[in-house]
Amino acid sequence: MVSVATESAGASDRGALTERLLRYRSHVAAVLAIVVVVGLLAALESLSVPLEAGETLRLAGSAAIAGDEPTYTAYSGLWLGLRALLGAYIVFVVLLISALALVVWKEVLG
Amino acid sequence: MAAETPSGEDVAGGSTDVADTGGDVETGTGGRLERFSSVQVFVHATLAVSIFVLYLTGLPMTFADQLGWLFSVFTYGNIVLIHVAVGVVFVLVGTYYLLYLAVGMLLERRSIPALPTLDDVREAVAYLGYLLGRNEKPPSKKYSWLQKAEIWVLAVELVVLSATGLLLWYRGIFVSPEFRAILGADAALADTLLLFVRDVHVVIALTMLMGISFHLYMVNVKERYPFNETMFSGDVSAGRAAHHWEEWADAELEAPPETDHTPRPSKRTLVGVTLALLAFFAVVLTATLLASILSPLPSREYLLALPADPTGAANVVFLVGLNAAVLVILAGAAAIVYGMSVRLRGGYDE
Repeated sequence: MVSVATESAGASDRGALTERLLRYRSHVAAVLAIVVVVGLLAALESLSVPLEAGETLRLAGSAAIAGDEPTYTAYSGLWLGLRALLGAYIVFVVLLISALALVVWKEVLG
Repeated sequence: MAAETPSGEDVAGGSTDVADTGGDVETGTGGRLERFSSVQVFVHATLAVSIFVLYLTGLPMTFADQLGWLFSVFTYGNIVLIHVAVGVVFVLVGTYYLLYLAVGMLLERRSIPALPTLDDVREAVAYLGYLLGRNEKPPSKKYSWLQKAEIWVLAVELVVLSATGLLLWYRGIFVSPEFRAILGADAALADTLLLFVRDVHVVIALTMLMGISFHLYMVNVKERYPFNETMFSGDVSAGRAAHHWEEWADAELEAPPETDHTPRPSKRTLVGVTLALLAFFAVVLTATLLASILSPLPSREYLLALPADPTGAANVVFLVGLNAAVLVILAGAAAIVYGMSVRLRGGYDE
């Protein structure tokens, strides 16, 4: 009997807590979001080093790229593959949404 | 919200060549249904405005020659900072909404209507049959298969843009000893990866720009012409709900109305708007292909990069397309500000 009453009280407490959390769901999500995003930015900041401290400086890198230095074309195959993928994606999306925009006519005018 | 009128004058009723119907007439019976909560309305507005500002500050970074005037608006020195600051706001609000959904799903132990299901595949197949004239248009739940596809494609693209944007801002990661060690001290690979990230950011952003234009077309032309206020008021007339989302209306209403007279564009207007949309797609696609897909490798400096300056016809394509894109963005931002100002003034209250 006591056990049943305790379980019932526990379930009731949980129910009240759930109800309370749901009522303040927006606030809970807001606090969690701030914690997550600030944590993410702090982690990225700690991983990132000042560009000037890098062994290969960005200016040197830019000049090398602009100068067509072979070092930066070492992965041109991979780069072209990525661009082909991106190109295929954007063309696919444009064809799909263009077709959908046209077929919508049937619904609008029907 | 729009006035409910008992009659359907001046609205389309099956004719294929009807007059344009103005923005304030939405007929229907049976009251209104809540479609979006206040949280959804404000999150949508904040994300939309953030995205529009990100485009206004991001496009000139890539296409400085064609959109240099935007540097004057935002000031040259601040444009990157504004882009980054608004990007953080976007990530923050997006994370908030995901957590808001997660907390609700966890505590209420139920799914959300926007999650894709097998029924959506069946609905898409049936929709294809409808287009081919084989069957009636399939009824939709709260979100049709196409709306879910829009939501999820945009959501995935936004996640990719957020991730690549953060990597571009914290590009020092690419020169950090730890990162280079992971790559076997291959400095060229680390630098090339940074350029990969930039290409992905630019191409996905421009793809999403067309996706957003398509979304605006579907919402304001197909769903309710010429200005759909549902995302601001949060509710929809029972008649329109029954017309667009029949299963949802059936589940929500005891006796859903059989007909609805949602304002529609005339055939001439529809042709004009659709052709303008397709032309916009063609120009933005061409500009993107020229700038980020077909330009030679290696083609650019880091970050504030431009491809070899296009000349002649290509430059005209860039100039027209990118400035048209800016007009679309400004119109979208103005619509959001207008809709939210009406809501905040109580214009949608009963």
